[in-house]
Amino acid sequence: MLEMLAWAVPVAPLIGCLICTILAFRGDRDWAHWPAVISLAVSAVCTLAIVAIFSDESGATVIQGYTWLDIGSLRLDVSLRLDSLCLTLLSVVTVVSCLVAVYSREYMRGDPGYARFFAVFSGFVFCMTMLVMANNLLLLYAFWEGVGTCSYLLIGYYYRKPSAAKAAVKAFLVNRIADCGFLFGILLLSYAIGQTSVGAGTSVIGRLDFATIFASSQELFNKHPDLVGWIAFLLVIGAIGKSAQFPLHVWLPDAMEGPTPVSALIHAATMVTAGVYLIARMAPLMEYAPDVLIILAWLGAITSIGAAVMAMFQYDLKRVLAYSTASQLGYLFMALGCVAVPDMMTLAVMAAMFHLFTHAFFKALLFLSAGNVMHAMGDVIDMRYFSGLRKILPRTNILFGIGAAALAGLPPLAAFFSKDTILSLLAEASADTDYGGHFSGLLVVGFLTAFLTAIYTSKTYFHTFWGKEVTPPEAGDHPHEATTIMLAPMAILAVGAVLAGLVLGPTSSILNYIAKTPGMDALHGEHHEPIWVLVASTIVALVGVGIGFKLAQTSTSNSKAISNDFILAIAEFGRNRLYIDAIYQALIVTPAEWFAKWLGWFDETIVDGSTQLIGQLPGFAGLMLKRFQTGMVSSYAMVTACGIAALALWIATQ
Amino acid sequence: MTQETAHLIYFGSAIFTLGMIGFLTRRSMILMFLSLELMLAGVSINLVGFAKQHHNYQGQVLAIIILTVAACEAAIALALIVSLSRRKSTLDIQAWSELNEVPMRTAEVPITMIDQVKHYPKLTPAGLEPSVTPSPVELGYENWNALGENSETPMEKTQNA
Amino acid sequence: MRLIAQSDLDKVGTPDWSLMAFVCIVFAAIGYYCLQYGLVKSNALTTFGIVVLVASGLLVAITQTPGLELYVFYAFAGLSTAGGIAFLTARQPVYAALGFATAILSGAGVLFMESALFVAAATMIVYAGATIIIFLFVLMFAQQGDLTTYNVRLNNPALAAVIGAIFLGTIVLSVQAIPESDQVAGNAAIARPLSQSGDAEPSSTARLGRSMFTEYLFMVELAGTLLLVATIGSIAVAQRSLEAE
Repeated sequence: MLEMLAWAVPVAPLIGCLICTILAFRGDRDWAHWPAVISLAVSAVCTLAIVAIFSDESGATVIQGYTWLDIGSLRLDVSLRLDSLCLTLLSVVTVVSCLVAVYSREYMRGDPGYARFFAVFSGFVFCMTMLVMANNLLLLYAFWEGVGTCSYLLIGYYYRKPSAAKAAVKAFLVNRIADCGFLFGILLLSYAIGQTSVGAGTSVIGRLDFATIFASSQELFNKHPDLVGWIAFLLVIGAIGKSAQFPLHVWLPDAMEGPTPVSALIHAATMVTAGVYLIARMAPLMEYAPDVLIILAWLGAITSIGAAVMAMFQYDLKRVLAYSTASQLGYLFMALGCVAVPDMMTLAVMAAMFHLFTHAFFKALLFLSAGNVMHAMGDVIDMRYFSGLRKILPRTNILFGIGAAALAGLPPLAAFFSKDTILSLLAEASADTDYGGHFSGLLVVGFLTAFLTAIYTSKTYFHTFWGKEVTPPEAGDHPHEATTIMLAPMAILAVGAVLAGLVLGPTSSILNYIAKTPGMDALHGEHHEPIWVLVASTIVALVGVGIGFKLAQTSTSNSKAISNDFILAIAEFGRNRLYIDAIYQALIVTPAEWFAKWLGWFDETIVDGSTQLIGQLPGFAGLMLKRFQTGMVSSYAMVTACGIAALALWIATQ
Repeated sequence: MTQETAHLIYFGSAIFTLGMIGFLTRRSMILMFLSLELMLAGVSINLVGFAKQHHNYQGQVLAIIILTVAACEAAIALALIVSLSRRKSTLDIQAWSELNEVPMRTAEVPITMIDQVKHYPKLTPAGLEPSVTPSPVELGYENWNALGENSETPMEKTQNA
Repeated sequence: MRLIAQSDLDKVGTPDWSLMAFVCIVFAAIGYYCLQYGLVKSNALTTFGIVVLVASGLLVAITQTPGLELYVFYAFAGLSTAGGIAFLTARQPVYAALGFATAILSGAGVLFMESALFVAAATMIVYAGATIIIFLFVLMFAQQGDLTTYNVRLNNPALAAVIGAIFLGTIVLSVQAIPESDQVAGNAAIARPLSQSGDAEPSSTARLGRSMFTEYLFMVELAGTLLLVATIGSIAVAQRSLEAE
């Protein structure tokens, strides 16, 4: 029973993907959403069923699949692993994707590539679920790549638009860089495990099963602590690429070129969380590389604050949300950095997964609301061209408000609890002897980010929905509210955004749930969060909301209000994404393009040229030898006589 | 090798060489043929010299056979020359260069012998090729096909006219 | 890589080189070229060429030991070579034919000296007789006029002269490499000095005939067949085909 359910979760979206692909080729557009929605619904239901019935003393169930590769010492079994960590993320992925699929039925209606959209959408969910449930690190890597490919296909959905195509390529390439590091980490890990006693007899790929990894990590640390550090570092490179952390964050804002449901699903709730999932999954190994975890935490911190600053000054609504995603993911990595502190591994992982859970809900909600706004405004998403939409989009107003409040961290909405958990975790970790200073700094950054988040979130909300009503000319005469099909999933997400935190957080249910994952340390008694963190974060959030409200008011009334040069300079800096993109373009992209051009010239002129030269040699030889074929008997005789003379000369020398 | 034989060999080779040079340089078909005969004569002189040295008749017999062959060759070669020259109305061997890759120079630099001009008012005009039928190269290959549509044998021409 | 092993060469003995022959050959080539060029360009060049040729001939003659036989030989040989040169350089075909005839006849003279009486006579009859006559007849049929371009211009005479010089030089070199000896090879019964006949056959021709019809009968028969075939062939080739009128 469990096995059937477990296999139904990835296989259903796969079948949906295949059916939709066939429909895409055939051109049947109108009912292409049915296979996708039904398969995703099946997947979601099965996931919830598994969550309900899953209870295993050992904490993890490995469900064997089939052997994909069996060559000599290489043996890769495709098998699924179910444990609490995996099920947490799996429920998020499947439920949110089902809801977004329902939404996109209405959003993408009439688009020429309708079936293609759903095909890649289902394919993405297939890859993501397999990624989450994979039992082998290499299998996880394979579906990591699959998720990246589906993301590329979906970002480049409007492939005729040059900016969309470029953004898709950018996302893919940046992900590729990260995947490179990830792969090196995997290979190094495989080699390292082979050195230990646990993994001595296992096959090269088979020893990457998570059970083997966890079993051998202690011994690995005892024998080769440096190696563990390097492996952890390489895995971290993979994680930050996928989860858009500094310095590989540059693809996420441009990824907003894709349709809004894509942004909601992939770049808010699911794909970008794959990096977090990887680190959480490998936590039993990562706890032996505390320095790397600190680096990771600081990268997350830099991303948080940098993205928050950039989000303050963006015009594009979706880009604001993209930067806030990057910022919140930075929170997750800051939390995961606490794995470095002994005895705090379970708490750290729990905090990260909790925030991931709630973030998925309210970020998807925010994106879908942005989609509503875009639809109503005739595909204009630049906030300078509209404001005060509460009369036109009343329900979206409420939903966006709920999402924004959640993002800002107002109690008792979801993110308040999850963000709090992270901040209190950081506070506790500051007491640690080795890395306490780091964690104090991270705590400060966390509060600052929360402050900025509140500011820009409320600024965006109040600017978009309150104030004077302005609509762009593309909106037409009667911009209308979204239909029920679009609003219903959003409502469900809103319910989750409101209640999830209350339900899971204070009751410690998620804590106990995740603690059941094998590899996590057991909990030591009850865990209480310090009160001052709760109070401080609430104050920060409220103050931020107020400032945001003020900013929204001033910007709508007169746009030239700010005359302070310093703030203007920072604003310009932030609008241009802190010029990181420009630096990358100059340092990396342009030299690479020169090199590629030169290589192309080299290949065409020299390599092809030399081959053609060799091909032309017989022609040249023929041209030269043709001169002898004069057809005149006399010249033939002359040539013969020359030959005789030469022969005679040679004989004379003998 | 006695001195006498050596002399004879030199002499025979000299005649042969003269014949060879003649064959290479001459353009008239008849004179080319005569050079061939000269070559054969040189060879037979050589053979007779060897016969003298070895005091047997092998060389002389072979010389006689060569003579016979030369006579046969003369007959057939001249018959061929007659037919060839009838085709092209000239004895120039360079007229027969159709199996060529490099087109023949059609304009020859004229040359006049010393004080011969006034005796022969009807010279071939200077700078022109001797009158021959155009080679396929000049016609363009599409017109060159004895079985093609555009060409008729003289017989058919008279019949169709 | 040598054709003849050094050991064999040493057995034979050291050769006796004579540089004069090569000089003479070079002179002859130069003389020929100047002569043929001068005939169309300038009389002075013609004279110069003739002088050079004569000089080369004299050079050869001077270095030899005197003797009546040698003088007669040189007379015939010189006349033959002169006829050959005339054949090469004459611009009018009939003059070339005359030169050819001279060369053949003088060659026949040399053959007479070598006691090849029958061969000499046959040469005169066939070459200087039959061939020249046929040639003249064909010339009557086919010649357009005396002084056509193809009669006047020679085909690359310089290169031909060089080739001829190399060829002749090689032969002279090869012959000089064989040292003098008085050894005689061949069948003792037939191989007798021709000047010392002393048996029943009165003349070398008879002996030649006997040798031909006993030892070399097959060749003679073959030659006869060849003559027959050639006759038929020449008639067939020379026949005018009906369409070619």
